[in-house]
Amino acid sequence: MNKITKFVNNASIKRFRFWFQIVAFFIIIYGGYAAIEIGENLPTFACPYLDKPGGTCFLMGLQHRFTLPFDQFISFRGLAIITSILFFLAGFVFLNKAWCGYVCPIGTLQDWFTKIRQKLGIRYSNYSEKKFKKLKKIKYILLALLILIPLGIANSIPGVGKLSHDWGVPFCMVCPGRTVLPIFNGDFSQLTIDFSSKTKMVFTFLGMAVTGMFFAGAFYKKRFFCFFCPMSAFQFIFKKLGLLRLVKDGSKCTKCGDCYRACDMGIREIADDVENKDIVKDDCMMCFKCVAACPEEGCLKVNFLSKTIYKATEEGFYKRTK
Amino acid sequence: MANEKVPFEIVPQVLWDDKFHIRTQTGDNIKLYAYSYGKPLENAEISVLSEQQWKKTMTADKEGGVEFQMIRDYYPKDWARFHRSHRSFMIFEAEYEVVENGEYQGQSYNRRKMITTMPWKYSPAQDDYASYSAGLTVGAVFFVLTIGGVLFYRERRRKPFLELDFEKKPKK
Amino acid sequence: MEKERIEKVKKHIRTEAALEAGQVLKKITDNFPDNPEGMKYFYDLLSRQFSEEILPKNGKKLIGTMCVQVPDELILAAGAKPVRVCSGSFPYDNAGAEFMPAKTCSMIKAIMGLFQVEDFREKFDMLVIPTTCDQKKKTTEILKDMGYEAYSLAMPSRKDDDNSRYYWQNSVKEFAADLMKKTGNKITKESLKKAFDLKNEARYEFRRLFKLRMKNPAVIYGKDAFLIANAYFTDDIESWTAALKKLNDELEKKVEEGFSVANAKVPRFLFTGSPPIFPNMKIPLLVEEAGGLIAIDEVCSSSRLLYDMPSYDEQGLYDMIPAIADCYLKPCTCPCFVPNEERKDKISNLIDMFNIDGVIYQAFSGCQLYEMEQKLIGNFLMKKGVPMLYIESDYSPEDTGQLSTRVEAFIESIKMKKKSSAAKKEENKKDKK
Repeated sequence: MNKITKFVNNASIKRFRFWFQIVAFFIIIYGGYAAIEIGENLPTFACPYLDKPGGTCFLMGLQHRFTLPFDQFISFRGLAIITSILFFLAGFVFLNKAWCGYVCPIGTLQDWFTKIRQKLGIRYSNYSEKKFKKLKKIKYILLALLILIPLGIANSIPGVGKLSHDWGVPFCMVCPGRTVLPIFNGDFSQLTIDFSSKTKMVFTFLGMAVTGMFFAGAFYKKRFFCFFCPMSAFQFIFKKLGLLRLVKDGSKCTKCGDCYRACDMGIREIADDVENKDIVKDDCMMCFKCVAACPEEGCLKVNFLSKTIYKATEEGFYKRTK
Repeated sequence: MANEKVPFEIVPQVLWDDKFHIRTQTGDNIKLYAYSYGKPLENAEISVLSEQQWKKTMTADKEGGVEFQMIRDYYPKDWARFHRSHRSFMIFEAEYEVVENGEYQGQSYNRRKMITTMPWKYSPAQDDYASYSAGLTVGAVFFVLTIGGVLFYRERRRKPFLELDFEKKPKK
Repeated sequence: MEKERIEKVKKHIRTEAALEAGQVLKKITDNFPDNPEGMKYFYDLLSRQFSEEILPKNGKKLIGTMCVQVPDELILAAGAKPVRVCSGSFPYDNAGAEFMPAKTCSMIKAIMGLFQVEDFREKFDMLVIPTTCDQKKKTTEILKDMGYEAYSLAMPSRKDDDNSRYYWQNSVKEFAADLMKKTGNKITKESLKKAFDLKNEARYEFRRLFKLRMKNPAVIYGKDAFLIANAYFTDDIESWTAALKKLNDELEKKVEEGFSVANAKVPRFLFTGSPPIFPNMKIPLLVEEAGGLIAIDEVCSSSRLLYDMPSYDEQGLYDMIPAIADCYLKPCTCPCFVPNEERKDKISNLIDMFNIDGVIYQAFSGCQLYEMEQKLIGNFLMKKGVPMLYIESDYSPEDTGQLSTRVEAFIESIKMKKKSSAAKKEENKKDKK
């Protein structure tokens, strides 16, 4: 047992993650061809705009379900919101926010852009602390919008009336998943501006703008889009239910900042917070690069159901930096 | 696809794409086949009839098939009334005459004519309302702007220290 | 005539310094039984600390440093040898007192004396001094005035905010550029990676020693641990690492055999404050000769020297150099930074990890920073319930008598406390039964 623990703690998490992400990418993009269906309420992007995905992203269904008149909230239609959230949780609890770090195909794409940038020797960009604090609120705004806008389709907004069905999936229209993922099926039809109505025009314009910014931003900043992702915000609400946990033992921390440097998202609390045990913030995607970069024995640990499956060790750190 | 128990049927040969939205669009090439008891009917007359009563008649070939291009039949008064989800109707009609002697319900006949119809829906072509060039231009513009922004920021950061900005900007 | 007199005085100082070193070494080796085999390398090295041996081979440049914050990896990557020139020698302290202000701390006086008496202008190609405390800042200028190539490495006063972080990263980047100019060698990502690996090897071995010092009963004396780190100042990094590896292997074997240098009842101390540098081992030796054991220390000449390990994410200079810079700034518990909460946390954790019974806080007279932090650390330790002995001293051996009385009294009080708390525990156990 000790040998296995030693092997795992000394392993390079980067390589493991690389291969896990490739497998997950293929299952999500092409899984339908092998009749793989992981679920319809997945806690990760699995775009229904794809031909035969291996599952469906939770957010599209959520937007459709909130196209609900207020007087029908207490009805079977309203119940659908609750049951879909329950099934979302059923999948979420196993990997907690690691769905972001290990499974999400948009995340995988961004990691591939990062690899290209590294090969070219171009340096990365990071946000300063002030900008970080301001920009991280955008994901909550997007989450609120994707719930409120569909409500305006079924219910009359004072002064405006009911929104047309073109407002049906507001987040999907701006999500890079819709435009970029179908390219892997040879489908470029989402890369258009739709002039059929003013709403569609504006939304597809925003969508292409976001796509352009996505390619450029993800090239320079590691995991650029994940900073603004409403799925990340939604998952954070339930993070306490996850069985996979990232915990910190503050008494072992020397605030050396190695974890902060390794973090793709640039979360400072991993290094500076020595009081709390649970240091998963709303931006964290549980890629565990911080655990691999920590030189203090047992300071950062990955626990599944209270059992430590991966932790920071001095020997592991030493072997990985060689 | 062809059913051996059906005396006369039309079978559309549209390659199904299992996309989220399944639809035939204006401009798509549609192949229709006429079958009788599972066998193709050469020389069957297959017609397509649009909402505005426009009709086109074609003769089936050896495999019993005809090919035509879905027309455009949707002309809203102005662009605001255009809906990409609008479905136009079409009716496919097939006619086949067999010269043979036979008996039906106690009466004899020397000629048999079979007619069958099939309704069809189609949507406006994506190229009519969506533009690739506009989309890719927007994407490219924002891509270049973002990269330009990053490079500009990197050049500007070469100043020796980061300035705080106060409410009244100091005059240089 | 004048010149001859000066030469005579210098020779006299040198002899005294060598004598002092010899005497201290003798105390260290002879007054204690069972010194580990592996320590012989270090004793030998320290007996010839600033001799010709430290001139690098193959025409490498020699770069002198002070304090812990100078990034060694950059110096190694540029193909030069870093040597820490902090001195602990009393004769040089006296020599420095001739022209330095009276209230200067002994270490600075000793360094200045060393550079005045020994003419190192030919030996050292550059002296790198970070702007940590006031005295270090001004010695840079005095050394420049004396004809040395003294480089001031600009260090921020804070370590927790973005401005300081980027300021220090820029400082280190400029230092790297100047190093390349000075040595004529380019720092490439390959050479930097090699330097990284070398230093990480040294750090890894040092961590092994750190873990071994946790053992209770102890397997190595504090005096030996200080010497190991002191030897790092001038030694070639590869041979130092190899020697430490041998020592660690030997100590691990000793642990398995159940060997220890002191029994479990010996009071374990944490030594913190101004750094004791060979041959100024006055207070550590006093403590250990009086029956105490310095289990661990929090000084920049020993445990803090090689503890923090940097890690980088991408192999490119744009990531490796800021990674080095961050590693030398963020976890540093030097009192020249404000706020310095990390030092309290570190001392607290060390006390828990090493089963510490008491803290010995040494401050050099004239060392404003350590003297002022004494109050903060003292209050903190009082709250934690750990007794602290505050000693203000300098390099001169005159106050050894006074100090030994105080130290012995402190050790006695700790021993009494341990006995009474052990007795209480026994009583509680009996009561429970």
